[in-house]
Amino acid sequence: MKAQLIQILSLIIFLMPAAWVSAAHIHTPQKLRATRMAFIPGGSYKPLFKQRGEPAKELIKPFLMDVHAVTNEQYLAFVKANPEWRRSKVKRIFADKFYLRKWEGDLVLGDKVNPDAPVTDVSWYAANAYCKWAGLRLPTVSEWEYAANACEYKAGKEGKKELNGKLLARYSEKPPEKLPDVESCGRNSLGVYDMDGLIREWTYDFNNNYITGSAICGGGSGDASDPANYPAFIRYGFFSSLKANYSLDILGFRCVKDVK
Amino acid sequence: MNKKNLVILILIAIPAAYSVSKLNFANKNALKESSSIFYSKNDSLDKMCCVQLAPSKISENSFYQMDADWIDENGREMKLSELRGRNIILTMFYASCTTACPVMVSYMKAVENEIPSGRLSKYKFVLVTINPVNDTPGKLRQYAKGHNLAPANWILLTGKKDDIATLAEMIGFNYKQNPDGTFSHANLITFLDSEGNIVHQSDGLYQNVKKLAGMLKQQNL
Repeated sequence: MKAQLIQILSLIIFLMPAAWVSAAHIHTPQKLRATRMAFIPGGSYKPLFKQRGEPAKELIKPFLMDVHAVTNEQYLAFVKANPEWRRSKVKRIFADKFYLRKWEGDLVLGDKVNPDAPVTDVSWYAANAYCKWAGLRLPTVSEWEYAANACEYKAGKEGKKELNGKLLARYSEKPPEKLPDVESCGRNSLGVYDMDGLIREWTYDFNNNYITGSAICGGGSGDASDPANYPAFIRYGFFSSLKANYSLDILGFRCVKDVK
Repeated sequence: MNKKNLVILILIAIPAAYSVSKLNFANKNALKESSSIFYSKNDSLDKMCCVQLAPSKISENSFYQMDADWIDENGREMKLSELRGRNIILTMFYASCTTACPVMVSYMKAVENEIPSGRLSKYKFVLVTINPVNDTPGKLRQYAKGHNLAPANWILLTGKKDDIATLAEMIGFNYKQNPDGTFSHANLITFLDSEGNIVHQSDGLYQNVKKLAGMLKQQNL
């Protein structure tokens, strides 16, 4: 009888932590993400393009920004919780056929994907849904460019030239087949990583600077606030060619949050 | 089964049931927090009462994959999929727009006039605001009256800012609010077939209405 009691008690001791771990393993979006966010103080930003009548500088309110792009591992947690965003379930209108193409399966990253690298091959709709799920939002073009402009380089004309040269070199590089970890491409003075390398990132209003379609073409560039900022032209040109359901291997995203 | 085994079974089953129930609860919460703008189930189809259609599957590229809630000019909540079965002629606008929007609306009215009255019930002319802060259902109703938009043929919609942005992406309608409150926006009219697939888009303020009506006829819309 005593032996039986010991057997039962040991079973209870063995099973209770298992139940506890299962219950504690509940994935809330916040717990899953665990991404640090950097405080981006408000300020003024000079957009590359502006509409007629717009002031030369745009005021940016303070906000919080993910210090790195959303990783494959984090995105996997999102598709686990939201089956409609799994590769086999997503509707073509919201993501083209290249969506998550390097993943081995709906819920398996596989060998071709680094779990700690930024997730790429995701559409704008998917990026927007992820940020909403996490209680956040995608940054606007102005917020992203403003945060990216806080560079580690010397201030002034020379510093800008150095940054532009570095960015142009990066943009002409072919991305590696397997992307490296996030936070491997430099941290800027705001504490945000990889803004001038690694991947390009979706923004909420990525195409709203091209209302007439003439901002980039021909004489349109003459209206730019800084005609020597070639990397910005490349970014704007790149985004003007995108549709919201495109999934590209160099395109990921990060989220931001308003400061109340 | 002897008593000993029964006790062991119960001891295994209780914590297991507990953890499963917790996990289900967690999934429900996670789904609740997930985006509401995206299509997930056929529930919007179930609500359809007035469209006599075989319950065929909506295509992957159909607008009716969008599951957002909209509000019409009468304050009625609806899904876009309730328009299924009609050919849609849609643009985005804002009520206080005095430049391009009235031209786009008059262009749509001209298309309406070109369609034989017997066939008009197969169409719906849809205006979706890009200024949900200002364009309440009341304002939209006032706009419809002011522009003599026949209630049987027209519907004016407002919705959540994010749903409006998503719809705009779906048709490639670019817009941006200016510091003075006005909007810069595309001049784009989109034609959808009865299943919500884009069949034509006309870009620009000046269009050949006759040609367009001919296109609708040719495509048997």
